[in-house]
Amino acid sequence: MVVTILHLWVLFVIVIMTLYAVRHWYFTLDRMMMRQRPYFQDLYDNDLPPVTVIVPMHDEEAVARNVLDAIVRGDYPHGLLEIIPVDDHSGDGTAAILREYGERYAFVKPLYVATGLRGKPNALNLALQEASNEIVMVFDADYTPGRGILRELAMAFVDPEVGAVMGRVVPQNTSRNLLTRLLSLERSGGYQVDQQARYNLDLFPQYGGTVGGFRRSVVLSLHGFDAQMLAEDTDLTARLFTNGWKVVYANRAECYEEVPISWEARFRQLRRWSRGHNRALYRNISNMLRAPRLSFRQRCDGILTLAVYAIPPILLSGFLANMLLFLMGALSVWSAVALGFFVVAYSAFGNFGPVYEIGAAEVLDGARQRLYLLPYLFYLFLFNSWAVTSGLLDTLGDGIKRRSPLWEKTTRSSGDRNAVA
Amino acid sequence: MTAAQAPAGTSPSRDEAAARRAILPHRSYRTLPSTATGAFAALACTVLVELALALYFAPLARTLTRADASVLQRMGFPVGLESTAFLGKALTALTFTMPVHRYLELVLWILACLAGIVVFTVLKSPPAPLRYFVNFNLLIVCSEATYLLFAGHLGYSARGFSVLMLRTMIVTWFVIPAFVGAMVALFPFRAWETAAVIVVCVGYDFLLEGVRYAAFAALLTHTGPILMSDLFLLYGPLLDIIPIIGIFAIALAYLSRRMQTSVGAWEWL
Repeated sequence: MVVTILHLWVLFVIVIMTLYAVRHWYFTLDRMMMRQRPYFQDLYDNDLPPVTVIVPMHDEEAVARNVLDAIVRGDYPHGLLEIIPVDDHSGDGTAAILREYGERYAFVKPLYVATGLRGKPNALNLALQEASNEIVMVFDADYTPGRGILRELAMAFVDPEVGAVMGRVVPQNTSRNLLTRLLSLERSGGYQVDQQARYNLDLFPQYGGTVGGFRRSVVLSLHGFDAQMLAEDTDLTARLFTNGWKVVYANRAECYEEVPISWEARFRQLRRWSRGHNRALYRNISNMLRAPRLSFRQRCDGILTLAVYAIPPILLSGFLANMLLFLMGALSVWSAVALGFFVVAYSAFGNFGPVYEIGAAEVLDGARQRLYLLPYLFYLFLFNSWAVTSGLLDTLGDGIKRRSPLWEKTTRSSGDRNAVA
Repeated sequence: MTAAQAPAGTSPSRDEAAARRAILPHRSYRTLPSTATGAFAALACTVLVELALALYFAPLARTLTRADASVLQRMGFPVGLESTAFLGKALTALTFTMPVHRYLELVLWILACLAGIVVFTVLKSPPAPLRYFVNFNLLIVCSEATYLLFAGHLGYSARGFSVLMLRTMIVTWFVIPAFVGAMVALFPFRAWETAAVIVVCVGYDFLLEGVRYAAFAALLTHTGPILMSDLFLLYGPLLDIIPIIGIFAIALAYLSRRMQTSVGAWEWL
């Protein structure tokens, strides 16, 4: 009886992993060789809409000037620009920096939050009340937006069906250590291939919340951001789709980020993402199944995307089931080999790209040297699996104890701006 | 002097080469020309290798096993050969004996593994993924020692383990061409490059499997079954695939170099 249950569980894991493997294989094929869906480049000379840029900050004195300078020096006309940097309960010199920029530029309108809830969703909600434009862009404080990124992103809203747009995240401290190099691989696979393919195929491109924008009225009509939600971006994507809005991806709109440089910081980041994503999955899966405006393909892709942070624990459980079967002398050779291949092929859980997808992204990016690091992705398997599993356990704990997750900031390594990928 | 002014028959100037590189599409707009040839080459090569394996896996496995037995015997390990069958073919498997663990020995293994797990959890060095991997090994050994303590024996005897290794070896041979073929079909490799990647991956795996089979038998002869599940689960099929991804990565780097120096290789969106 036990052996049968374990065999069935391993079979279930193999079916799930095969589904994901085929899905990402097709994404890679689409990005590499099929006709790409154009973004809105041809509308470049169209009238630009007035835009509000929100930058939530908590203890960001090390990076605040960088992100504000990058936005101010961009090519978006200052007359159409409003910047709302939000000082969210900072205990360092962030407020002083924001005050300085507010005095220097009339279109920089800092918002200071010292009481009430702390966290990005709440900061965004408060800033949305202050924003005076319909089109709102959001950047994380440790990001460096490219010069033309606001134009690139804003153009998408010429299409009245577009509810949100997402740009590409490119790590800028890639050469710092092995971790940053491996994270760079993950990001490439996730954006250059995965997001672009989902955009090409009209599936479920994700609004990532760090480099993108949305319509203010739409988000307000959906009751803003849930202050208890750690993955407010994924939650918003799901709500936009189920309410009939489109999310588009702008591969050319590149924004440069500082990825975590320590394993501890990465563990906390991944755990937080997992906790938030799994909560978003729980909240949105029934709406996703019932939404009348979604096609069957969109519905399937949406569920598979929302479930990505439930997969590493499932894969790990399949591995453990195989171990029990081995101890009992009932292991199936075929399942042992199949799971072995899936474990190695799917070691990059941050953006959930299998090894061939990441390889394709690096070929497209022309990052030849980094390709030699592909086998090292296996190095991350147990680390990522445990971080993601911890996040899933946190989600279950949140549900059982009815507790609210605390927002935890990713540790910055300020000033480390080595080679841009 | 520009390339246009250069005498016929001379190589293009550095300026011209730089200009060619300069007009490569931005990475956001790049895509590759659709080549069904590459996909067909991958499919054809995969099918051919699978057919060859179907015809010759039995003699190949027998040869590897005999070579393993011969080497181990020369090194003084008490191993032998016995007949078995898989996928309808007669094979030979290594036979060896393992020492039996006493209860006190198992308790010591459990305590040592638990102590190791605590130490590697508390330590801040080496890097976290390495510590997690060491701890995972210790956890598996600890679980196996606990199982042995209560059940008295593992599900696999020395013979059972040997047959399992042999079968895993053969299944891996069959899976590798399909796995590698599916991956290389996505890229614009030339037909001979596709064939080379698949054949090198399979060829490498023959060697790895042969060496590993002998190494596991030699190790278990000394250590007993305590390391059996750890060896199989973490250094079995998993270990086959990591270097295969290494070979794939080298092939991709080679392809990427070619693409970077060839303007015609890319298409705009």
